[in-house]
Amino acid sequence: MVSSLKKMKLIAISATMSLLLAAMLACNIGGEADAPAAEPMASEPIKFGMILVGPRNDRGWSQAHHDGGAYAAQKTGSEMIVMDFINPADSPDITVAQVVDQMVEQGAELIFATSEDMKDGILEAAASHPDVPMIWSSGDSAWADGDAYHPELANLGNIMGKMEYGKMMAGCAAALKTETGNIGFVGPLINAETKRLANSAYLGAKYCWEESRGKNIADLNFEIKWIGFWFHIPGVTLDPTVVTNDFYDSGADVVISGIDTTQVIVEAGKRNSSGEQVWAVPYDYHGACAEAPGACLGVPYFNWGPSYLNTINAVANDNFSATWKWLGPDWSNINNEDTSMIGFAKGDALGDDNWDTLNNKFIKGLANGDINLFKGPLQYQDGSTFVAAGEEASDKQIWYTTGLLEGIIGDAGD
Amino acid sequence: MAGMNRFYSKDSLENLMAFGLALFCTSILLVLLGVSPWSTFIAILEGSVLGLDSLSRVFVITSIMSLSAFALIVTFSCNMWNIGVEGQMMLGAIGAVFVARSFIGDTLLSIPFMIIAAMCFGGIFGLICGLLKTKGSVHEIFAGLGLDFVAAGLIVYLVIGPWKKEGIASTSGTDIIPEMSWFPHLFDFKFPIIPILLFGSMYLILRFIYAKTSLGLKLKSVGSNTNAFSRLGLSPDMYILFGFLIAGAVVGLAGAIQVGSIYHKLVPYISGGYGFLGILIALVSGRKLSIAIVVSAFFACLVVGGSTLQIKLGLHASLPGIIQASIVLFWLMIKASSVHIKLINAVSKSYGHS
Amino acid sequence: MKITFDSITKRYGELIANDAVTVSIESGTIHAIIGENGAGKSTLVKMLSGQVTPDSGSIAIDDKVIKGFSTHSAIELGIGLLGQDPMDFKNLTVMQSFTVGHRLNTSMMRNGLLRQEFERLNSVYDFNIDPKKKIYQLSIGERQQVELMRLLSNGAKVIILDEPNSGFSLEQKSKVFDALDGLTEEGCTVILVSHKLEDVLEYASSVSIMRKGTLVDTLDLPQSPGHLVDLMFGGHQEESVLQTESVTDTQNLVAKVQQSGQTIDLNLSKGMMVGAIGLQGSGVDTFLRNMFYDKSFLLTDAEGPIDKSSFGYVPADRLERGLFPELSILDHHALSSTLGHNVIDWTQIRSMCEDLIREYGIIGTPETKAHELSGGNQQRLMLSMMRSDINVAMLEHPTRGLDIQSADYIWDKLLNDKLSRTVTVFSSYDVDEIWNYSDYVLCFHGEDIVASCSINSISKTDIINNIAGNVIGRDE
Repeated sequence: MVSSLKKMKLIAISATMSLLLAAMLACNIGGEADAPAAEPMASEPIKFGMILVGPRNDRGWSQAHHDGGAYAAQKTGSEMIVMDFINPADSPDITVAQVVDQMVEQGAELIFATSEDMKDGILEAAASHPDVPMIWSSGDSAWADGDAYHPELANLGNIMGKMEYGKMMAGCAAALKTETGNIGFVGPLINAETKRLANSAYLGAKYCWEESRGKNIADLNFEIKWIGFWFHIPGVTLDPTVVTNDFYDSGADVVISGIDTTQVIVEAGKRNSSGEQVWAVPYDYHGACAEAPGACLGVPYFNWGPSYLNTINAVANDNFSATWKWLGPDWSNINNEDTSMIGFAKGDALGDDNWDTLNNKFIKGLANGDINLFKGPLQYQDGSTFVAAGEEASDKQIWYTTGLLEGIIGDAGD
Repeated sequence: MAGMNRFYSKDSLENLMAFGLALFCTSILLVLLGVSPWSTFIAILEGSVLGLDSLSRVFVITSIMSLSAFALIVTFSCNMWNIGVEGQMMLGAIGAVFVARSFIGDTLLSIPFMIIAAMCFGGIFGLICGLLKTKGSVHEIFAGLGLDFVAAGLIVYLVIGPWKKEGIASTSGTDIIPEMSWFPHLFDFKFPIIPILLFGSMYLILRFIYAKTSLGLKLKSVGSNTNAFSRLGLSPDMYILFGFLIAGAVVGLAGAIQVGSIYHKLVPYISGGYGFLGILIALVSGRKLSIAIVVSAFFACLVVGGSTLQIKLGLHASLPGIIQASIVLFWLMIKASSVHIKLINAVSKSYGHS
Repeated sequence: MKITFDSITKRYGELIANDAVTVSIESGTIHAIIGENGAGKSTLVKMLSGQVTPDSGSIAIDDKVIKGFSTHSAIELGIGLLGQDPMDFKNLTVMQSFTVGHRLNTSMMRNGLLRQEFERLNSVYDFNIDPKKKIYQLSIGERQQVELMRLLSNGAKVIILDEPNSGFSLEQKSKVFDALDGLTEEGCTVILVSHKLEDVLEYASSVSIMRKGTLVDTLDLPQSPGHLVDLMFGGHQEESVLQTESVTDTQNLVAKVQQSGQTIDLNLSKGMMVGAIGLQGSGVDTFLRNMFYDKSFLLTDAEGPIDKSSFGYVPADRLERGLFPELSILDHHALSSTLGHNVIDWTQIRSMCEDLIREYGIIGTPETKAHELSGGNQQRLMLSMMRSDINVAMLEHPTRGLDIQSADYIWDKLLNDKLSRTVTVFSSYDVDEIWNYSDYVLCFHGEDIVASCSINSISKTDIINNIAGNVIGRDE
């Protein structure tokens, strides 16, 4: 027997729950449609899995992959199944290998594992599903000349973009704009990839500081701080919001982002809109400047669509091969969404003159080979040689960068 | 603690009824979210017990959750809230990785020593929490919470410090441990023999302790009334410390499973929140070891099956978490308000009349 | 308000606490419910206060059946319970405890009002309680007085007194009952649960007698005490004759006692029964507890200091300090007997437990939990837990709240065991108890021990004078 008092209680409880639900609904917890439109197909549609380290709408690294996958899905009429938040902090219940198991079970014929962090998981998964082609983006497991070649994994290929060029442009934009000569770089974790990208940004900044602005390199203060991971994990990494503000507080007026997420441009935007003369260069995603156009000097971004499209076509046509691809910009038009792996989107805050210098001098120089910043002599912070005088760095030298260049302030993780 | 006492004597019918009601409430919630509860629960079922690989994961996660719940049941019996359970699990993981990275990591000795080290590390960390409580007069909830942060910080320090990968400073984890240190699977369906042995033996040992030994009775009585306990010439502090030591050692094993069966390396936050979930499992299971296993298995299905919802039904990644949380919440609410018992009475009454 | 219990039945496991009890209590009376320990008195009145839900049967107030009785609805109906262990908050001050749950406690603005109310009641009933003291500093009787004031001030129309007088001093008792008498004239109903016949005969106008969960009879008073005793015990009341063997003063034992800064040496003899007496609220309340827990107490015989591990202590507040509320009788016996053992032999413990239940006349099964036992049975359980190898037994108010038969039984037991023990110490507020059973007496006035001597060298009047602070008989 439920007394009237209890009934009242029940009603009260259910009313509370409904309110809670309404709140959740407002937060858009429900399903999101990823259904690709049935466009003209270039080849057979397939089903492929896309494993993202962060959320699919992070306006950074993960969204760039997600959009690339969506582009390829649309071109081929393929179906993309997405798992986002695949990292130990957000999804402790599942590992990359287990995600692959599930996707294969769901009928995925191709898997994209889109983070350096997924290395252990995707190697395990590739070994346990030898018939399923997989791409580990940013990896080197399929590079025959590389240091971590896995010849036994004939189903695991790699794709990476030559973001070195993008970072050089980012560095150049920062050097063109800075008034204090203090440039900050918010780095993720320390590994070969992040070191070569930080070095590239520095080289770009150094070039434009000296050549375009005619200043002394001794007056350029280029400092890097690492947060510890690709994005903020409370309690585990440093907070990029704090790191960014520390840079601005200590005199930097441009901060370059090297992390997956948008904190740097967001913080710059806040300060800029309150009248401070500070700017930022975000990373990864072509639309990143939209976070704070007034503070954005432009963004170097990945355009994964074309390379993912090629991979899907190869799988559909049954001629997939596990290769290592390190793709550069389409120098005829680095912002061509159908051809260029790496692009640089202009930011409002850069100014027309600076954009002119960046676009028509620097980028053009990179495109026609007049400017090669990985040319010796280049030394690491400890004075050891990176590229000897008169030599140009090989792909292998660049890929397996072991330190930060002389002139950069910051920890190289040794 | 008067409210807690309600959870003591529940038979399985009451538990089942409470669970059914919780599921029902969660279904309503799903409908309101625009998600079909039927297809969601079917997908969870398919994604957990109906696949060989996923069944193996269900077993592993059941083991981890059960061990966490056991640890909580032990400390609850001393009337202590062991919020430090997460930290104790992390220390267990550190202990296991410590052995796996050592010179025996690539030998047959590794796994037994990983297990021993995990128990020692977790147990000692539990003991520290107990010492802060008994000798330092720090409330165990704050002591435990503080120690959780210490353990999390220690892992981050190890991962980007002494145990970092060559030339890399990333919080993504240490190097993979040698394969000899991976907990082996049996048969085609990756039967996780070691996790099951670990939680099974802990279940039997704890059952024995509580049913047959003076230690178990003392742990139970110190929780019932410390004044009466010291009246008998026994030291409440000593048995509270015992409770924390046992709890830490038990949940340390869960850390070893995280390392040996799942991650094969040390990653930050390796406890994955299973310790905190263990608190809830201990509560909803009425602090009964056997029921805790059943509840753990259920939550493991939810976790494993829930992770497929994103792929299968295109649902948001946070939905499994919401389902899990709401079932626990509804379950506790139903138990606290004893709606389920009234329902049982009403049903049995109406059957009696007809 | 008129209260009617109709066919109330309540079981705890195999124990039938109330078996189809039907009682009607008229408005504006003091109605007593008597019976020996475990007769079901407390269980019955706890249903009225909503703490216990009957398995079957109903309760009607002014002939209206009340459904779904809860503590909340009982308070709404104006039913207040003053229990054996007062329901209050140890760490609050008297004033705060009075305020919590008070109907006037609706906003900060009422604090002054509440203080006035407290002061008024405190002076009307002449209770003399300091509102700034913390609850844990009060004696049980004083705590009950605070609780009574709160109930009355809250507009209680029915006051249930569940063995409260065992905590009251004589003076307090007459004050409290004077207050209650006045209230009945205003239409209040008082239910007095007691085993003390003299109280019942003095204050109540009608009485219900319970025995082993059933209602024997309801009678108007006065009645002859003998008749009531016959009804309570089923006519088998034996005249208990106590065989007290007085212990002579061989003085082979020295006790060093520290009390409020002074150190007193007591020259005792082996096997003595030491009685500590004082008014409620005096140092006697905490004397035994301090002796047991404090390192300052030292007992030495010819062979040297006596090992503390052979001390046994039976506290007055049974559920707070003595027993494990959630544990069964069986668990209690296992705990007290297997000290030092690892694996418990449950078969042996169970047969021992069953023997002890029988021997001590505990109404319950091995599975009955301590909190389900009546007060007297809790006391018996504590005594039954006293190991045979205890050399020094310390008992606080060993017969508090017990019926005559239980009290006699316990004294039998204690006197029987005293010679096998080094010393037995007990505390009491009752001069007769001290006079009848002690070999040696300690008199407390305030926090001080004002007299300590063999019972043979002091008169009953001197004891009373000493504890009352009358210094005539006191050595300086």
